[in-house]
Amino acid sequence: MSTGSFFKVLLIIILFSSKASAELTIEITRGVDNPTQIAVVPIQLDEVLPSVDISAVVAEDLLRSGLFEAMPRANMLSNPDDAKQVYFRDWRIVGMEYLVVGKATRQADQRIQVTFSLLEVPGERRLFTQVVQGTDNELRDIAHYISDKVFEAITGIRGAFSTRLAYVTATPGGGGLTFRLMVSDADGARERLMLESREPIMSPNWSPDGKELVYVSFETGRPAIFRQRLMGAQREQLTNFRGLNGAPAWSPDGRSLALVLSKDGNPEIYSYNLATKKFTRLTRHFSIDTEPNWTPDGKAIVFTSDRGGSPQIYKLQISSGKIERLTYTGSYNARPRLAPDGRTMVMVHRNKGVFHIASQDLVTGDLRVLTSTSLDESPTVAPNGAMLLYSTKVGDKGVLAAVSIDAGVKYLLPSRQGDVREPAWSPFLR
Amino acid sequence: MKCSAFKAIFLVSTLSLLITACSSSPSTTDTDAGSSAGTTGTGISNGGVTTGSVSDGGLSSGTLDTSGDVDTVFYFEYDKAVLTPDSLVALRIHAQRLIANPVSVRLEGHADERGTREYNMALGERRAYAVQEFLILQGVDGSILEVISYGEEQPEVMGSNDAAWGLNRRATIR
Amino acid sequence: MRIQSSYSTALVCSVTLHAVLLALIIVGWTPEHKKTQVQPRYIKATLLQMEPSKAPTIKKPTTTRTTNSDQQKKRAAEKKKAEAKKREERKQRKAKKQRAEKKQREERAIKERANQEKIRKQKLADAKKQAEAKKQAEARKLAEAKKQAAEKARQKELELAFADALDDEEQFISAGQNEQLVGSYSDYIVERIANNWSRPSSARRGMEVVLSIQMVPTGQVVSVTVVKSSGNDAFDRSAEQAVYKVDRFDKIQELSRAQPRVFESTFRRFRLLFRPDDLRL
Repeated sequence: MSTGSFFKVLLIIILFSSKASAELTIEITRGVDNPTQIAVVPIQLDEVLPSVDISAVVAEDLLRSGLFEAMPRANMLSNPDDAKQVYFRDWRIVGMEYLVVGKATRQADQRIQVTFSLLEVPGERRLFTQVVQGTDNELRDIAHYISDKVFEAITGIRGAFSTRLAYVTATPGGGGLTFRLMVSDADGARERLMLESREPIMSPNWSPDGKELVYVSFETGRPAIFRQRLMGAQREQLTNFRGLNGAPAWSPDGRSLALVLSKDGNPEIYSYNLATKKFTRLTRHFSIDTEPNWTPDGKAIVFTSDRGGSPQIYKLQISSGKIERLTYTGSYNARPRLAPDGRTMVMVHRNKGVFHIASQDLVTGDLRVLTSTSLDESPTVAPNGAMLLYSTKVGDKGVLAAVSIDAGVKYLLPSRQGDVREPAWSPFLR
Repeated sequence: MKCSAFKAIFLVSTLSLLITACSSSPSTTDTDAGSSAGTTGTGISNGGVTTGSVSDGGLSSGTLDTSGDVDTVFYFEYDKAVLTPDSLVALRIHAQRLIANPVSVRLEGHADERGTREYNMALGERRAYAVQEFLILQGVDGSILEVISYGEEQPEVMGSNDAAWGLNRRATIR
Repeated sequence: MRIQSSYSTALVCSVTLHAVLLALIIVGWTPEHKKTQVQPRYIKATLLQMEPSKAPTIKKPTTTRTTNSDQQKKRAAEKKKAEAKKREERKQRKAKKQRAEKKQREERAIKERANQEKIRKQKLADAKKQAEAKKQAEARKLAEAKKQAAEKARQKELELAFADALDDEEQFISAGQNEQLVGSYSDYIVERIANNWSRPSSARRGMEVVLSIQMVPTGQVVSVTVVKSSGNDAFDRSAEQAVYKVDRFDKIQELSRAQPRVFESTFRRFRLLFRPDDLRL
């Protein structure tokens, strides 16, 4: 090959070669946050209709979380009870993103077995199939179990549908009020009476195993703290001091209660050991110190104090006794409750004379008002940290309301007889 | 029909379960203070005190003398525990009577519904303390006075307006 | 100088060749015809919330009841006349009552028949509806199968045309134009996916998932694979779902027709990195 032709060829190669390309990577840095569209297909039992419509309970659970929109049953064109029967295009056309199908059969031991599957519609794939069993009385529990699994798969957050609520009701009658301490499912079903009294009941609080409650009862003529098991008749009065006996809060390890006593002259926070029944004083200040709540690691207590002139929230390190102030926005911040992540704190916050529920990020210090209702109080956080319940007033009636922890979703719970107040969300129960 | 029979059985069984569950938990409140009490305050000086009655002797029996239409309810401003001059007038009369005829007396403090419940318990207590301090200053024997706060739990008037709130921010003597 | 002359020709040829080539390099290859720049025009449209039309309120027909007018009793001066009249009137009333009852019975029978007819019609309508729905479902299935077949055919056609075009040396464009084109279509892809990416509640800033996408010249996505997980299954799945929801990037067809080489080298197989910047947490 002559020098000339060699150069020619080389030049051609240089001119014609494309640059060595790595695969193109496109970055997606934003999205939308619409509620997930899900269809919960009726779960049929192949014999008699069960007393509980399992798929209706599941759809309501998912709707209540605020993160889902459930397809109305009337709009469903088909009724598959198995992944193989699903014709994805039918569901895709109506914009569904997920599908829950299931089948219930009665076993030889009379228990009902439900086999359910979660399917993803755009990708046309089955995510999982699970089996759950229960007696006829446990159909609601089966439904909540399904909701938990579906919720967790789609959101990545553990479902809190199999949890309970404790709350106090006050019903007028007989020239006064009748107070009742109630426990119900997280959706308000299967309400159960724990205590009925003509004297006030306050501040219910759950044990970490979800089997007991502590609360304040005025049945002796003055406020005293009681402990009561959910199952069985066991009930015990724990305090009987002069002055305030209030705001009991169970520690995460289940061994102590933080509570408020004013027997030494003004309200102070004490720790009470449930086994030894010994009281340890934690605060020493002439101001009001009340409404204690433990951090999830059990090493500190957040509480309300007006030592700064008006109610604000402070944190006490139990080991060192050191106290630091946490809230600086607004002139009234009280009744703190920590989310399970230990980083988000919800509280009652007064803004321009109106009492709202607000959340504060303990890392950044940012405070956000979460509610648009007023006269809000008693926030309680779900054990998965996704929702919180609180009590508020509609007209003259006390009702419970729910809001998602990022204030995206809000709704009022269906009203019950009388005034409802002081909700307390149970821990996970399984 | 088979359907409704089954439904009836389910309903009855769940109901009966509910009823037994309910009946197993106490539904009345008249458990008296001492009986079910766990020991209180081991190692702490002030022992528990039972309602109403006082341990020391030297008391005349009877209840508070409310003759002559003397005020027994005293009102307070929002977020305050300061007695008004009118209240002081009435309280001086109560003081004189209690000095002359010491009977055990409950000073009950209350708050309006705004704000958090336990904090309002403390506010109510402050108001009752205000009454107690004044009476003691007038010479009343402190041991006959018991301070009890009801916070926002026993409103005098239902309603979410200034008028109702004003009537609920009170301390009573009885 | 015999050697020189033999060299001189070679020298002259070599120099001219080099000069020509150099000139060409300096001037640059200019294609005969201008290539049409294909820029996708996509408009960011926001959907206006449409007020759901209120269901028309159905007015209930007001029923007027005819009150039986009381018959006026005439008082006869004479008892006998009155009695006779009374008897006569009684007889009349009885007859009237019987006629009214008969009419009522007839009306009821008519109503009953009308009701039955209504129920029958309703049942028929329901059965018709079900049959219709079934027919529609079948029709849809058929249409779908047809559509898929057509789609496959179209893809095949495009692939062939594509392969031809690749051989065409005229498919050469400058590097600068290339970049602009890729950028433009990438923006289009971002837009389509972002509008379909619904993040789960557990998503947090800092999470990243990388998907490998395979596309055919029609813009249809044929493969989605997670090549680098975020560690959060729900997050990964939300990214996959966004792509599945788009399903076909329509505008890519324009590119693969006009610039198949660009499509082939860049968009037949590419990656998507999901890294949310807009999450609060």
